Formats: sequence, structure tokens, C-alpha cells
Amino acid sequence: MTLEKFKAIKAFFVFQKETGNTLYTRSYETAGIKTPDAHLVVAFLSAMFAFAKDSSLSELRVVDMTDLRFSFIERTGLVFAILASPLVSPMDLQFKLTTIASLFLSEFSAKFEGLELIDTDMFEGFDISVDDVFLGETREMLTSSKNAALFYLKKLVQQEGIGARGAMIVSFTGDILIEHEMDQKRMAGAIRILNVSTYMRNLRYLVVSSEATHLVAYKISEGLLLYVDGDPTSRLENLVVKASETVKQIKEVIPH
Amino acid sequence: MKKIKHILKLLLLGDGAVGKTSLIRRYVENKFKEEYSMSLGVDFLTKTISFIDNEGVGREVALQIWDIAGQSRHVSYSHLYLRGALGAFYVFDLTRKDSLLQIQDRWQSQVLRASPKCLSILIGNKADLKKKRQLTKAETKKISQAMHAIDYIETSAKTGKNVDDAFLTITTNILNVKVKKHL
Repeated sequence: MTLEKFKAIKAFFVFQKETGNTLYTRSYETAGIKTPDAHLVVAFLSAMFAFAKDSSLSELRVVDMTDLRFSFIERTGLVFAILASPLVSPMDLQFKLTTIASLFLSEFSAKFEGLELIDTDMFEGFDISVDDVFLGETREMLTSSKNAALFYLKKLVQQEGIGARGAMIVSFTGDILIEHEMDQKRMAGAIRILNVSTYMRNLRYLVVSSEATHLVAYKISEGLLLYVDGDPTSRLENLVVKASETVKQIKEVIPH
Repeated sequence: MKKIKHILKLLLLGDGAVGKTSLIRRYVENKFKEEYSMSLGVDFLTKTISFIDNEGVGREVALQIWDIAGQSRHVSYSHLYLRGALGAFYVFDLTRKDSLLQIQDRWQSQVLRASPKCLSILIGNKADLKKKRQLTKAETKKISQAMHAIDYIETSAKTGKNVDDAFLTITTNILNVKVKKHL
């Protein structure tokens, strides 16, 4: 799978906590990649809730597995759960879950109150809201803007003397929107660190320096970040300055 | 007696830590928590109020009060939770001048795009912290007028000052009625 096909959110589920009945599911896996079975996931999460309750872990909200991150919240007997990449910040997932739960309950709770058997067809129209929440930022970036932004990423990486080895634009949802020459392994660990830090208010940029990389994360807008992977033998200051210039250029061409 | 039922969607918006969640908790549950915990995402609570208006008509109003996280960065889907709102409180912290400055650009413009007919009240919260106050009434009134807000109210979620009044003011303005008796 290429970085551009990487989907941060894999699937979203709503189910009844007591019965485990699935009310709503939405999957974002692309063709050729195994789609998670809703019933299995719901069974797993139901068991997790039971475990959390018995183990006094009632505040449990995020469970990490090797390639997956489960995040869930409970509202009025319903569980809202996201299956995501572990690269997405837990805070972002909780943010989206709370919002989508509020939208769901405001729209449907009065309709199925007191019903023993819920007709899941009633939730069909909800796909639009779910997609807006999970894919909104990605959709906002138009193709023409993407091409223009990619041009500036390439220009940054090709610039001599700053040691930029690759660059990409990531949404706060964790979706990689555009990338050029990125090393996947190096980035995966770095995003985990940086995603959490980006919740600091008024943060403009953040640098992570290690023996393997100089990594610069620069805020483009409230929804987008520029990541630059730099050679650790080059001067970090130059990389930060050039990243800043690239952000200014990107701001001119994309909606923010 | 004739009774009319209404459902109104109200929004509370403003920067982080200005006291939006505390105002809602004070109004709905009559509680106040000293320690701050950041709201994640968008949440709503409901409260039903009843009153008799000046013409003797009984009104039962279910308020759906939406608490929009101050740190909300997800403007690409804000229309989902802002649309259908009939009233909005733009909340700032009287002890933090910066919390008032962005209200129009950051919040009101988004709300008016999603709900153009939404009425608004500007709320200066934390009125109990008199010694730390950074804004005069004249300064805040001026901004309130520029925003075309129907009122400017200073509240304290901690003491409860003017909290009920603010909700009643926006409710009656939306319904365009005057209250004879609050039940």
C-alpha cells in the first residue's frame, strides 16, 4: 500500500452496549484490503467493555493493537467505536467520536426511544454526516490544490544544502494527503509523537531530532500539517527555515 | 389553558477555557466544578423550561444546548453541528482580553454561514473575578453592537449570576414573546 492510499480511519460502528446489536457501520477500507467484520469487532468491543467494567477500567477509551487502534465512547447505552490506524492521535479520535455521537443522538434518539426492535434502515442517511466528519479535511483539498502543493514539496526536497529527504502533508485526522519521497518506517514513529503535541495551543512548528532523522512538523492551518524528514547530518535551522517558507507557499494554494 | 411546545437548538461557542461547559452545567444541573477539564468534540445537553407569556399562553420549551469545544479545529464539518441553530452564545472570559478578540472572525462567521438567522448574545463569563478583569463594559458593549448581538450579559458560572437570565433572554427573543410568569 502506498502512503497516499493510507486511510487513517478504517471503520466506524454504533452498537447497543447491553445486547451487542449493531445499529450502524461504515467501512473506509479500500478494495483489496481486508474489511473488518462488523460482528467480530462488536463482539470484541463488547468483551472489552465487560473486561473494563470488571477490572475497574471504566475510563478505558483507547486500546492499541499492533496495526490497529480502537477508540470508543458510550452515550446513553450506545457504544460509538472507531477502528483506526495507530498513527492517529487518541485525542483526535475521541474528539470525532464525541461529535459524531452527539450528531447521531440528536438526530435519532427520539425516533428509537422505547422501540424493542430497531430498523437500521433509518440510519442510512447518516452516512453523509459520518463521511463529513471522517473525510472532510481530505475532501476539502481539491485536485488542483494538491498538484500545486506537491510541486512545492518536490521543490523543498530537491533544494540543495538543507538535507530534506522527504515531505508530506497530513491532516489532523492522520490522513496522508500528499507525500513525496517519504520513508514510511521513520515517519510512522514520528507521527505518533507529533500528533499528540499538535494539540498544544498556538503551536506553529515542532522539531524531533534523533540519530536517524531531523523531523520538522509545521502547522499549515487548523486542519493540516507539513512534515519534513531531514538528514540528521544537515543543519536543522536551515531545514526549519525552508519548511516555514514552503508552508507560506502552500497556504497560497490550498483552502485553509 | 392553551400550551405550546417548542424545541430550540442553542449553541455555546468561544475559545477554550472561557467557561462554556461550566455555564451549561450551572444552567442544566446547577453544579460547578472548580478544576478545568478540556471538552473533547461537540456535546449537547437538554433542559425543558416552562413559562406563561404576556398573552397568557403557556409555553414549554425543550432547549437542546450544544457545547462546542473551544479547541475545535475541524471547521470542515462544523456545518453539521452548527446548522439548525436558532440561538448562539458567544462566550469570552472577562479576565482574558484575547478570548474576546477572535469571537467574530473565528466563531460568528462560521455560525452565520451554517445558520444565517441565528440570534446571538455576547457573554462575558467569570464576572466573579473582579480584580482580574481585563475589559470594561464599554469595550465589550462596542463589540456586542458590532456583532449585532441582541444583548451583552456578564455571567458567573461559579456563582450562577445571570446564567438563567441569559438562557431565558435568548429563548424569549427567539420565540419573540415576553414572560409573564416563569414556572
